[in-house]
Amino acid sequence: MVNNIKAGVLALQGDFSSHISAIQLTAKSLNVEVEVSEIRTSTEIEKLDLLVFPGGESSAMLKLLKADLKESIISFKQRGGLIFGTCAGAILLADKVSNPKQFSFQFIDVEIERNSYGRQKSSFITKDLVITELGKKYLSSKSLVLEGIFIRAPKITSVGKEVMVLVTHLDTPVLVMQNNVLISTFHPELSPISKSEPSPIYQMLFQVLRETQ
Amino acid sequence: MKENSFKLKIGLAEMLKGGVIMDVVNAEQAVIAEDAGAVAVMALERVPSDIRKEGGVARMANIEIIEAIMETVSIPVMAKARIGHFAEAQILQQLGVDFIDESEVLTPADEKFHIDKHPFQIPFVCGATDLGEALRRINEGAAMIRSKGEAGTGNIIEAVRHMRSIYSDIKALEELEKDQLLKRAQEMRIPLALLEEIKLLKKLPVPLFSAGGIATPADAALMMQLGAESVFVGSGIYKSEDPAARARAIVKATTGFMNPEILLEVSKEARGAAMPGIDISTLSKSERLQDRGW
Repeated sequence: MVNNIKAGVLALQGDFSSHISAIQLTAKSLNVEVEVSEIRTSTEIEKLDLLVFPGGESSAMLKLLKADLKESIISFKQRGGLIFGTCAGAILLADKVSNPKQFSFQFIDVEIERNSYGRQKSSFITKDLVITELGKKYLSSKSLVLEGIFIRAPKITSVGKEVMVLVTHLDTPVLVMQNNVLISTFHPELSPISKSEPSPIYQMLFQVLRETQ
Repeated sequence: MKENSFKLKIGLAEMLKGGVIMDVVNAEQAVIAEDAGAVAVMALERVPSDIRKEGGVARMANIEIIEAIMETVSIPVMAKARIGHFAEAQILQQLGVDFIDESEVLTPADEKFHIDKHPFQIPFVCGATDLGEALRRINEGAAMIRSKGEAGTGNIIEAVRHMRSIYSDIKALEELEKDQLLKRAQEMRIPLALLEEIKLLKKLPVPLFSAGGIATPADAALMMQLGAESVFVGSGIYKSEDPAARARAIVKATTGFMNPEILLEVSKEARGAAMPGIDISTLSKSERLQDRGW
């Protein structure tokens, strides 16, 4: 496995600290060396291998996203850096956003609807996530039961031809990938993660990094 | 199931970290808050400084107004219920607000009991002045704690006192042996197991935000540097001269709280005068909102 991964979590707002500990604990469990930092300014992105867009409020994050930070995120994508976004992060990375319409990076060819399941009362936790045939390539362990924590979650309403659907919930894609961009509408970073129980999603991201390097 | 429900409650609190939650009394103010980058709005009848001025009984906000706010913005909507007023909380849950603040800013409805927050589906935030109070609220099911501060004064000193006191109380647990820990738990009126958990975690098991007296970008940065994970701003925005500019500046200061360059820049952007402040020592005992709650 590739060593010395440099990971950064966008820390404008949201559950960035949960992502940081998910990365650290998974790395520890797999004996991968990872340096992880909070990202707030454009210069901090230059040396990264992995950039994470955490959950939070996408509208608030947009207000905090300055032009120079935007540009350095776009050039990170262009040079092939790996990008992962959960919930609000997924919204920022999508091709098109509805409810309401707003800016997005258009890094992955999906349409996404904000707060699609409703308000907090409709938030839910499920073990009924289905790993697709494509998904099994990355999430291979036979006994793997993924937990999906959906909080005022968005829904992916359509996916382009180039997009690989890796996990679904009631036939709706909830974890999808296109080239170097992976998004989930649930929060793997909030599921219990420990040294003995690494995050399957972060395990997968480390695998992708190994394959691309 | 119960464990799952608590996970979801804390989950939403996690999403609000590093952000600003703004008090609003109508949909127009909610739009200004959302445009400024608020992570959530708090619907209430009157902002704390007006409650202070006008007196009378402060209750849960008018349902029509909360509904209008919910229809207008896409960010989470919180609303305040009176301490112990579980019927107000039931109504707010039925309405579908995303978070309930069982708040000392409103006139308490019960002088012994806080709301039993466990049976509710939606999360609660409660104020605290020290670790014992925070843990009593968590034991009752609160999924987020905020410093009480002294709401509506534009004076940060009480919020600072409360934040420092929560952290120093946690630090002090390190020294305690089992029997001393039991005594401390008894003093705090909480189960020993909860206190043992805190000793191990070295922090609260739920997010800790700050409220009560934040009026400037510098105030927000101060509270974040003292260990708050987000800030609530009440009267500080709409009682200032230029609410929109001030709201934007406080949002930026909360994200850039460690960066003096950003703090200087946004302090300039917060044009016009801050809200007028009140010296805490001039408040009579009955005017001190932080003493409400048990």
